[in-house]
Amino acid sequence: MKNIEKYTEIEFKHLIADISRQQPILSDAETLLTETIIQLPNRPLPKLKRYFEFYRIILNTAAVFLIGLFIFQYVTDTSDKRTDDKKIDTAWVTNFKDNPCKKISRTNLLQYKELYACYLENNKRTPNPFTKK
Amino acid sequence: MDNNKIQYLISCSKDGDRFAFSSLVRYFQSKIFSLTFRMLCNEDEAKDVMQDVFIKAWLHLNDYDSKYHFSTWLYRIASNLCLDKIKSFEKTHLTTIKEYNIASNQNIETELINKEIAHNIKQLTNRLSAKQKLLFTLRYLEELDIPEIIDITGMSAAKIKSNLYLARKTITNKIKSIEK
Repeated sequence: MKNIEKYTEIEFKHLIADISRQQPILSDAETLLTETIIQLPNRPLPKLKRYFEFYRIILNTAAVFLIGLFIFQYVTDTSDKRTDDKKIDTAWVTNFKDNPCKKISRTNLLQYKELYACYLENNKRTPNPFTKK
Repeated sequence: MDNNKIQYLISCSKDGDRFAFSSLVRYFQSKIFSLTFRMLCNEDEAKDVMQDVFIKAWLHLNDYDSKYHFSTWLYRIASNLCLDKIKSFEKTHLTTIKEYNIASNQNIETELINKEIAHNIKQLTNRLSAKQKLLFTLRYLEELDIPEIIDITGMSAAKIKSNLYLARKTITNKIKSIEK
């Protein structure tokens, strides 16, 4: 019995040695390699990069929104300024045709200030000496 | 290829370099094919699983722990996929994996050699459970040592040894019955 055991043990070793020596052959290795590389999907981003990507999108959106807001504000301010200028023209100059201040030319802001000062000077109220304080 | 080069290629692959990864595939594919073929005993299935191994490795490269050999990590993925494949065959009541069609393939000589190897392995291991077959293949056919098998399978040394003992016993019993 022991001999049979020993015999089968030797048989086993021989058999295993034989089979392990037989290496399966990989045919079309290069084709398989190409196929594998083609099948590779895009690698998922690592966690940190995913967070960066998330914040990048949010910051980009915020930046675009702010730029839009600045542009909108700039455009609105300019149009308001133009309207104000027109108001000055109509209120101070056009409606008061006999105003002596009209002689002052109105080409820039400084002269508008001069015009305003002149208007104030001409329309100031002199205190009445007979009225009680 | 030395370990430093492998680690360099892995770090390049982690950054999405497919060319670096293709070098790794080229280097390891015959090793992985050997395991998948010996486990599944079918060339086509072995090739499919081998491709799945590399795709899975590519997707989970960030999970690779560099304290292990890259081959150990690939073997672990391959082992799990092979066990899943065998289980799926068992579920569909296919006790033997279908034979491949020789006439459809151009490389008949290679096919015949592979078929003979598959036949020999099948004859020897058809009575083993999937787990025993995996351990037997890793230990005796791939000739890996026990610590590496522990890393691959995650099983304890005692469990591996007892499974190997049972596998060995089953095979020697089979040899005895053939001799009688």
